[in-house]
Amino acid sequence: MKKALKIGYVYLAVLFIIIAIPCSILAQEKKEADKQEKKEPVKLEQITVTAPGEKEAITITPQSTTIDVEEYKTPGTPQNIVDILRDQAIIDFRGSSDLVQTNDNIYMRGFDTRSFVTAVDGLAVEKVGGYKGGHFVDYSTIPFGQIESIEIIPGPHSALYSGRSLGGVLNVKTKTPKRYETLKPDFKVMTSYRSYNTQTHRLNLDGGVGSFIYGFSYEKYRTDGYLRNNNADIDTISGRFGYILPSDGYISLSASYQEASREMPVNNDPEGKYKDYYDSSYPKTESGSNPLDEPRRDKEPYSFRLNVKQPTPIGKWTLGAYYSHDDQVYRYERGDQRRYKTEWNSYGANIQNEIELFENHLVTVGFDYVQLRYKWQKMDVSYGGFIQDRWSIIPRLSLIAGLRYEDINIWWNNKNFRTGEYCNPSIQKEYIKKGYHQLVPKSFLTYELDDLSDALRDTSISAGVSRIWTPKSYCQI
Amino acid sequence: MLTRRIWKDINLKVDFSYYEINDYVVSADSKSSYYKKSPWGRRKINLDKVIKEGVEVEINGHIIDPLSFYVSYAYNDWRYKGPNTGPAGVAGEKLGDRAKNRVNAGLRYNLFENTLLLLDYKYQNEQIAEVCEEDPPGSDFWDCYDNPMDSYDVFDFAIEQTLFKKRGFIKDAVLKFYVNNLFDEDYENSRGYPMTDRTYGGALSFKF
Repeated sequence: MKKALKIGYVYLAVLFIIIAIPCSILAQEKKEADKQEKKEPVKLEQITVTAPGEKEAITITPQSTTIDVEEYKTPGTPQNIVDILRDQAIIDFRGSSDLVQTNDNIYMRGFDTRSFVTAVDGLAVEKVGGYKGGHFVDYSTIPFGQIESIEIIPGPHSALYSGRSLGGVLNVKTKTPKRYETLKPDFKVMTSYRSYNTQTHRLNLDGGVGSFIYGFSYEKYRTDGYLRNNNADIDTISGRFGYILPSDGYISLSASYQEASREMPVNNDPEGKYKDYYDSSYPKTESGSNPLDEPRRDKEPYSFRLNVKQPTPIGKWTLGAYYSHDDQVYRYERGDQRRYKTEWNSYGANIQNEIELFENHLVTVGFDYVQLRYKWQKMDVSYGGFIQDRWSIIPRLSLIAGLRYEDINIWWNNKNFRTGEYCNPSIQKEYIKKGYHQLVPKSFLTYELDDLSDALRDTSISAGVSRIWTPKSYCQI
Repeated sequence: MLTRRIWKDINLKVDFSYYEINDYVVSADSKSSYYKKSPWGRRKINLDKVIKEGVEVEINGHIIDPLSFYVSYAYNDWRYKGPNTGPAGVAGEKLGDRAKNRVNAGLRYNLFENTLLLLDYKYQNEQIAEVCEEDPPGSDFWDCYDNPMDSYDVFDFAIEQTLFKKRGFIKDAVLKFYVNNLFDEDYENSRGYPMTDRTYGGALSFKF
């Protein structure tokens, strides 16, 4: 709780700066505008506009499908990115309720969250609390207001992501830092109300002063839920500061904090084992535990992220790093108010360089690192190194060939904390460390057919052949 | 994979995928003695070889200037290549229980310059999900059963009105009314819980 308060103070400070800076600089801006008005008009030469006239909400390429979150329109109010992703048939929504979305509630290409990667700015999300067998991704913890686009990369053909990406990768890209023409920040406000007292309120603020940029977002989601015992109340705040470097590079540091309380739907079956507690004002529900348990999950996760991008004569460098803390208290109050608390800490970093090493060869070399701890017990340490060459063999034929090496150490749980039994009785330890490593080749070939016939303009065929490998699928942490 | 611009800005992508997965780990059948002997409550089992085939189709773009659309289709087929007997055989057979076909589609029609109509459609065919719940929580007593789910068709509809582009310091004021699950389809997604019935909502957004 103290940590949460500290983070709250940080955000109050951020909020103060965000409001104070624009107020103090608005007067300065007006003076500058007055000066500009007095200047002589500038006569411009003819300008050729080459940028596309209208931004597309969905962009399809052979390697990926990208959804521009700002442009994308849905017949509803997206609670988080799941409500956008589930419009794509490659995503299978598996949640118990669309009003109260929980962890791991989507599959990609038929694979669950342990077998595809969800990344934020290229860095994979590892764990979001709960027991060891689940709770890998909670999409509500990614601040919606800070998202620029979602890149859906089907299949395991990218060497830039871990071997866990059997089904593919969902890469959530946050807003790219940009210079602001005026000192006034951009505000965006959204409020919505839906049946079952479902409310979504969102405030986003983005601005900049010279080369410095800042952003802040607040989201409130609450609902009474459709099912019995299925209220939810979620508050998410995020902020970021950044500096735009010379040569269009940038440094950006962001933080997010969430307070979430989600009730879990209970059994409400007039013919089931809890028929004595049936409540006809809610829909019949055959699943779920004893209605008197009133189970719910509360959590206060927070995370910090660093993004750096800098073009240099020796390539475009990208650095990302994060720390995230995910705790979760599971409550079910039936007299004795038993409860379980889990706490996960994860760190990750990624550095890569993209360089045109030879003519027609765009080479990306990088290294990534992830460490996952349960409380402070190491559970997983992964190192990955990769090289990828985007080779234009001939103007119409390109090959993306990659090699990825992964070295993964997993501390497998060897003791059932409830029964005290050991999974492997010959080793009387709570955890057993095991190491795994593998070299994984990736390839993706694309041939553009434009030259073959007029009927084949803007047509390409592609084939990807890649090895898939991960030791994490077994009783995954 | 085929990618093609069909007409104007209408783009098509067809993606066929084939996976051959050795040592694919899944949950064992909860009714098997293999599972019940587990000291862990929910026991995993290793399937020597699993084949997964899939097709994904995406089309989107404008039919005429005020009318845009998207269609997205996915087919998934899982097969276990191994003996049909024993705990692996039973678990392997369950791989095919997931929904094989899914279609999502949407229409966006600018009825007037500032009025947009939105209609979304989602279809998924029947599937069986194995539900395992620890009841009471923390007890290590797992109640597992197969939950068959029917196919479903769900429609969502919205009307979005841009109130004004700029008035004073307020920009892009947009009001939206929507109906989710328009025809009040009774359906489930995976865990044996009925999904939300027809709901109504409204949203207001603006910038400044």
